[in-house]
Amino acid sequence: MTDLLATKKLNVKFRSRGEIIHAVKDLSFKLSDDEVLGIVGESGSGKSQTVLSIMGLLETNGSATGSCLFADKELIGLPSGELNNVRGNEIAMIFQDPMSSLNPYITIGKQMSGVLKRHTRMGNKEIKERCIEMLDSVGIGKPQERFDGYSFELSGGMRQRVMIASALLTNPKLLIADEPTTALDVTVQEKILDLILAVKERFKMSVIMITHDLGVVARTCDQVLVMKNGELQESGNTEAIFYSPKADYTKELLKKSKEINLKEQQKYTETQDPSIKNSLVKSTNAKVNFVLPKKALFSAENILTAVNEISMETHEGEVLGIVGESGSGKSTLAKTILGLQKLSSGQVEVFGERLSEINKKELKEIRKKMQVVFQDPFSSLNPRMTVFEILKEPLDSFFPSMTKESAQKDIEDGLMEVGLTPEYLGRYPHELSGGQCQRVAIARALMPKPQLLICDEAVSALDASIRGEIIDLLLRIKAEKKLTMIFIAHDLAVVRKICDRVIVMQSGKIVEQGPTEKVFFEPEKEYTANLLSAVPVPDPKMEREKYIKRVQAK
Amino acid sequence: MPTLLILICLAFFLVKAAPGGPFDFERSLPEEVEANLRAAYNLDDPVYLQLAKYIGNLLQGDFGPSFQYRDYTVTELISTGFPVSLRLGVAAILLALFFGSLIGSVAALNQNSKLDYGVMFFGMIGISIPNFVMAPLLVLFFSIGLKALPAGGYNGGDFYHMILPVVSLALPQMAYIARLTRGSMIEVLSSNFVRTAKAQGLSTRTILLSHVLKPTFLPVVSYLGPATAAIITGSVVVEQIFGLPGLGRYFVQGALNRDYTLVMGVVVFYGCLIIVFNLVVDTLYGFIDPKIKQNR
Repeated sequence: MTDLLATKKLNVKFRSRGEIIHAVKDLSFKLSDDEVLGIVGESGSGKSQTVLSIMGLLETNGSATGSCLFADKELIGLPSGELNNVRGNEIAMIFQDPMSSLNPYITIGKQMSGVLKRHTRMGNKEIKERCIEMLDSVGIGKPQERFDGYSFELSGGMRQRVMIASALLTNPKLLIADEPTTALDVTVQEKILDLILAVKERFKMSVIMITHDLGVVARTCDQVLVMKNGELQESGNTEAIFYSPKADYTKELLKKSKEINLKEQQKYTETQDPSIKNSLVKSTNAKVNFVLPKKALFSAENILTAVNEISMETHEGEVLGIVGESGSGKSTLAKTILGLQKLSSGQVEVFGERLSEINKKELKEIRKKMQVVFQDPFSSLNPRMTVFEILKEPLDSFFPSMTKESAQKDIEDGLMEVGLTPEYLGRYPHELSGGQCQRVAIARALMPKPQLLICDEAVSALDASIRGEIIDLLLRIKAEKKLTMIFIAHDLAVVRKICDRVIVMQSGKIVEQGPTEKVFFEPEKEYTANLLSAVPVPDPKMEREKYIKRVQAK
Repeated sequence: MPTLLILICLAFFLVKAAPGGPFDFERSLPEEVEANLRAAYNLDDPVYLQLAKYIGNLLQGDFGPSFQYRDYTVTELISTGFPVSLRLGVAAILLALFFGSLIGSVAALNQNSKLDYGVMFFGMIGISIPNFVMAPLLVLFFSIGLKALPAGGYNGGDFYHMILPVVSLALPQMAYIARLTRGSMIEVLSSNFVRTAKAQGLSTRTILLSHVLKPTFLPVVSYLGPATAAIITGSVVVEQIFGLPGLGRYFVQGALNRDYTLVMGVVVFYGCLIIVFNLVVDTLYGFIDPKIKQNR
């Protein structure tokens, strides 16, 4: 085997406000033909910057030194004119967020044609044929129509397929995938990963797969680099890394990842005594319809039923998980419970009150007992308020008569409770990390001393290790305060770790519900079983078996 | 339409609320003469009746007679003044658009360079200096200092006579559009889809032309609505300073002479113009932004 790509002492540095940030330190690695190389690490480990430097895509304040030979051509320091002959042609790249990585203002066809116009001498008709052929081969239905359509008409998975199709147009030798499935649902992730492996075989490419998810690595990669803070921790073939890791950091990563993924873990919450069944939330045949904008002036109304006749209960003291893919209606259900979304029909009772029959004042009383933590901590905290002001706001609105001193004390206690010190009180959200922001969001939710906490994808946007910390925090608080929690997530591993009972939703309906262990080990419905097996586990052998099964099933 | 109605009523009452009337001269008229005059112009009716009659006439396209320019109707005055103002306004908008977006793009492409800072500095000055200050300064420099351009007058719309009015009207808008373009383009340049285009090996030129240009000018297009309004307001001042016989000048003189119908007429006319232009801008926007096109 020859080396397709070989880096030697690759360094990436950023200048930022007079400081120099060393993002990648002396990184050397090799990639052979027809090989999938995984680069794993948490955010800030330099894994993305490594490939961006190879592609010459660093931000303007970044610079790369060292060497990176691609098919015996030095890429570092290559003038952009020559680099442009390589990238998009011999090396293609797909990105994490297919939504923003495709231009919403020009048609998909025009974007794809641009690549061929740049790198080949094909005529317009030939170009169009090639693009449509590629769209077809990555599994996009009606490729003719899509060619003239726009990216925002497609779902996340379809957009990523379009990205892959445009990457394959020129038959590149190397495909770089930077967190290609992080923003996608598990079932979609499975399809995209399978697609990447399939096109790799078909077009005889090598792949660099960048991810923070060891499960994805186990599923797809032959070789692995583990990175932390810009430094290489360990490299080797996948089985060696997973079954006999040498570096401490790798062991730690594996341990964390297995903790939430594999079956032999212990349960964290004790099972509830079934005799206590005081239900806090109860919905009967709840239904929410959205009227979609009309396509033409006189066309019939398009109605989307986001929540379709859902009847469920949340018992006091339990952690109820609601799982499902995006678009399954789980967040809409949470909104109806919070009284933020009106029902089209049916009933929702919270703390014994029917939400549709109470006035604003009574709703406020109920909201005091029921708080929520949202997915994106950065956008759900007001950027112009300090942590102190953020925490004070719920006190002002729910306990207007509270004295200044006791409010101050409550706020400090609240912050300590989520593991932050009072010195954070004066900071603004942008001065905090993602994990710290989410801690503040949790502290805010706990300020009115609620009985019910709804977490809407509360840990989805966080890194694996921080996710673990936040989950532990939630579990601790839940036990200390005897909270009831509704935990909405698309990440099954997380749900499995913390929930007593699970509801599986699909297109607005409940597919299956029951105690977590039962749903996870003996799923009754095929949909649940598929959802479960789609989660990549950090075990290469298991993943290979699953892959072979899937290929055979086709 | 409701917007226009509110505008008419508001203007009507504001004009009425101003102290003094069209027939207040240094020497007061004999009482019976003034009463006759008031009767002739329906000014002796109750106010609501006057408004109703005015709106009724408007619907028939009749802006009423001018109180000051005898034998002229307001419609006639508007139709003589409008071509001059139109010429001035269109030229100013085009000038502002062209140079504004050009300067803004150059600044964005050389972000944080000296050129960028320089352009943005002059841009800030352009926005902050109102045109009633800018116009005399330009006259002082080009007409009196360099003796290169005429200081005023219309002269049948002669090119050299139009340069200074157009430039002084366009400058603030140009500066604003330049800043708008710069900000928007910087944002687009740092977007993920531009990164994708770079990763596809496209040349900077191709990326700019086929990926960056369209999203960059979306905010500029939506600014065109407020820009026309600003140009219209500006033209009132600029026409006065350069002595151009345009609508703006009639407007100012009408206001000074308590020429109720003339002032009202110009207000209503400008109102219509702005509403129509905003409609045009919205339609244009729909053509550029595919998302809006789809939602129709």
